[in-house]
Amino acid sequence: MPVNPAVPQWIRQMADPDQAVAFFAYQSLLESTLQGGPDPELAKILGEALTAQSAGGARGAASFRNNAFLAAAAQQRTEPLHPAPVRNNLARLLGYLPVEESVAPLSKALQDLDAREMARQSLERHPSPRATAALIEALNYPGPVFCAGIISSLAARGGPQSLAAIRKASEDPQEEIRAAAIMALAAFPDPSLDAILERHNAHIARARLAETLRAAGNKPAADRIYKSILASNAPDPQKKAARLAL
Amino acid sequence: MPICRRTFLKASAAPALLAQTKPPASDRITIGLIGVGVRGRDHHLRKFLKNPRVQIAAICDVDSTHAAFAAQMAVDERSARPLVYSDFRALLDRRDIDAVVVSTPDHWHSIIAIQAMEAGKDLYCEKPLTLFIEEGRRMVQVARQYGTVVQVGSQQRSDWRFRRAVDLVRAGRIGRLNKITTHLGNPGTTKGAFIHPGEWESVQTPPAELDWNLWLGPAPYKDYSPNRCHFEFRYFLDHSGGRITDWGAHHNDIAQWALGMDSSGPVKIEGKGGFNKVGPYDYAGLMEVRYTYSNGVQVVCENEGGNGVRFHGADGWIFATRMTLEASSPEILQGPVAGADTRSYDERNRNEEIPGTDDHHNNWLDCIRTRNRCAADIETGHRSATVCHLGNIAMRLGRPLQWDPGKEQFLNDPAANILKGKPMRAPWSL
Repeated sequence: MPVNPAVPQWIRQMADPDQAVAFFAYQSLLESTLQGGPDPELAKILGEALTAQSAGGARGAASFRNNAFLAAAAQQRTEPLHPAPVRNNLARLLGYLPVEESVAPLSKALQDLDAREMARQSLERHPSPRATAALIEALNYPGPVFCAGIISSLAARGGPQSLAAIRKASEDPQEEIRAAAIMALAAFPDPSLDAILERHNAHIARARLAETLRAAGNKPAADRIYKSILASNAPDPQKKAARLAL
Repeated sequence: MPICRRTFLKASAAPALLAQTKPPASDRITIGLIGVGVRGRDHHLRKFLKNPRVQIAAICDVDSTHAAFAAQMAVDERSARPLVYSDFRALLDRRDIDAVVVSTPDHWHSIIAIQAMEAGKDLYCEKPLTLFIEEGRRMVQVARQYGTVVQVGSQQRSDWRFRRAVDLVRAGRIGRLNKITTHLGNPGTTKGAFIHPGEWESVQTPPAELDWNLWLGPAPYKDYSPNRCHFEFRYFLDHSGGRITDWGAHHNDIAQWALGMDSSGPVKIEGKGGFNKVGPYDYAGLMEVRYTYSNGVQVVCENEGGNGVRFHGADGWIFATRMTLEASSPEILQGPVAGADTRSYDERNRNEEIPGTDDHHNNWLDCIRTRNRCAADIETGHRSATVCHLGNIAMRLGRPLQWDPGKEQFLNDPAANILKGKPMRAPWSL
C-alpha cells in the first residue's frame, strides 16, 4: 500500500500551536502507522523526520554579527528540524513499525536528549538484533536514569550480549545504574548470577532469579537459590516464597 | 442539648453492639490505601472505615489534598489518624501493614502490585488490573510465588444479579449459549466522551499539592494539564484503556466467567472503534468488538443497548445489570440452581451506590484469613483485562486478529505483538 501523501504534512502539523491540529495530525499518523501494516517506506519517512537537522545556527549567527568568528561557528551549528514533542511522537510511531528501516533513526535518536527516552522504549520491543547493539552502545551515554532504562530494555530483550552488558553495569560506580543492573540480572536464566545477587544482598532479585530459572525448566537451580534464601538473613516475604517453592 | 430516649439508647447501645461485632485488635487486618482519589476514598476507604474487621494504618497519595481529606475521614469515623505518605514505597516498607488497596490510575497498577506482593502484602487492586497484557502475566506469577491473596476490583463478581445470571446460564436455563453481548453504555451520556477543542485545558504548572512526576510514574512524560489528571486519566491510552477497559473490565469479566474461560480467552478478535481525533482524549469512545471463543460462542462488546450483560441462548435470554435481572420468561430466573455460587454474602438488602462492593471487600478479608483464592482472583483479573486490551488492539490495528490464549500471543502478527506491552519510563520497570 502506498504511503499516504499527507504524511509529511501531518509530521509538520504535529508542531502546530493549535492543540487540536497537532492532535489530529498525530492521530492520523498513528492510524496510518498501525493500520497500514509494517511499511518500510513509512518508516523511512518518519525516521528521516526524526533525525532531520536544520541550519538552526543561522539565528544564532545573526546575534553574533559583530564577531565574525562566533558568527561562523554558529552558522555551522545545526539543530533538530522538528521540536521535541514532535520528535518524541516520531520515535514512538517508529516503535510500531517492526521493520529494519526503523532501527537506524531510533538508534541515532538515543543521542537526542529530548527524544532518547521514547527511542529507547521503541527499540526495546523492536525485533531486530541491531536494536540490542544500539541499546548496548547507549549505555555509554550520559545520565544514570537513562542508563537504568537502557538496562531494563536490555533485560527485556535478553540474549548473551545483553547479559554481558548488564553484568558489567552491575559493577558501575553509580548507584542508580548498579541497582537497575542487579535487578535486571534476575531476568536471565543463568544460575551463576546468584553469586552476584547474593553478594549485594539482593533478596528480591534472588527470588526473581529463582522463578526465572524455574520457568526455564531448571528447578534444581531454583531450589538451590530458595534453600540459600531460607538460610540467609532475607526478609520474611522472600523466605515465605522459598518455603512455598520448596 | 436535651437527651431524648432515642439519643440515649443510641449512645448507650452502640458501644455494646460494637463490642459484639468488632474483632479484637490482634485479629483485625491492618491495611494501607494507595491512591485515595474518588474511587479509593469514596468507595474503599469509606466502606473499610465502617468495616470492623480492618484497621486503616496508612494512606498514600501523590496529591496531598486527597491524602489529607482521606486522613480526616478516618479521624472523623474512627478517631484515629492514619499515617500519610506521598510515595507508595514508604508505605510498603511498613511491616505492620498486612494488605494494601491500590486505587491509582491504571498505569501504576502493575508496579505497585508487584512491589506490594514482594513486600509480603496481600492485595486488593482496582480494575482493570493492567494497562498492557504482558504485565498481567508477570503479576500472576508473582502472586503465586508469594502466595498472595489478591482481589481484583471487578466487584460485579460479588453482585447477586450477575452471580445469579452466570449460575443460570451455566446451568443451561437458556439452553445452549450462543452469544453474549456486553453493553458498555453510550459514552455520549457520560462525562469525558469527547471534549470540544475549545474546552481543552492548556498545559499548566502542576499545583503545589500534586507531585506530577510521581503521578506520571512509568507513563510517558507529558506536561501537566487538568484534563489529563485524576478521574480523567481513563480517557488517555497512556494511562488507561478508555471505555472498553473501564466498563469492559466489569462486563467482559462476567462474560468470561459465564463461559468458564477465567483462565483463557478468545481466539479471534475483530473490532471497529471510533477513536477521537479531535482530542485530547484518545480512546475509542464508540466501539464494536467481536470476540470468538474456541467453543464457538461469540462475545460482542458494544456501546449500545444500555449497560449490562445479555446472554443469548437457544431457549431464551437473560439480561443482568447493576439494577435489574431480567429474562425472556420469568421461569428462567426462578428456583434453585445446581452447582450455584455458594458464597453466603448477599447484599440484596443493602442500598449500595455500587452494588457488590461490601461483599467483595468481605470476600477478600475472608480469603486473607483462609488463604483461599478470591472471587476475582488475579488470574481472572488478568484474563478479563486481556480481553479488553485485545479489543483495543484490534480496533487500533483495524484488522482481524488471531490470539493464542495459552501462549498469550497473536498469531502471525508482529505488529500486534508489539502492542501487548509498553516499556516504562525510566527509572521505572517491573
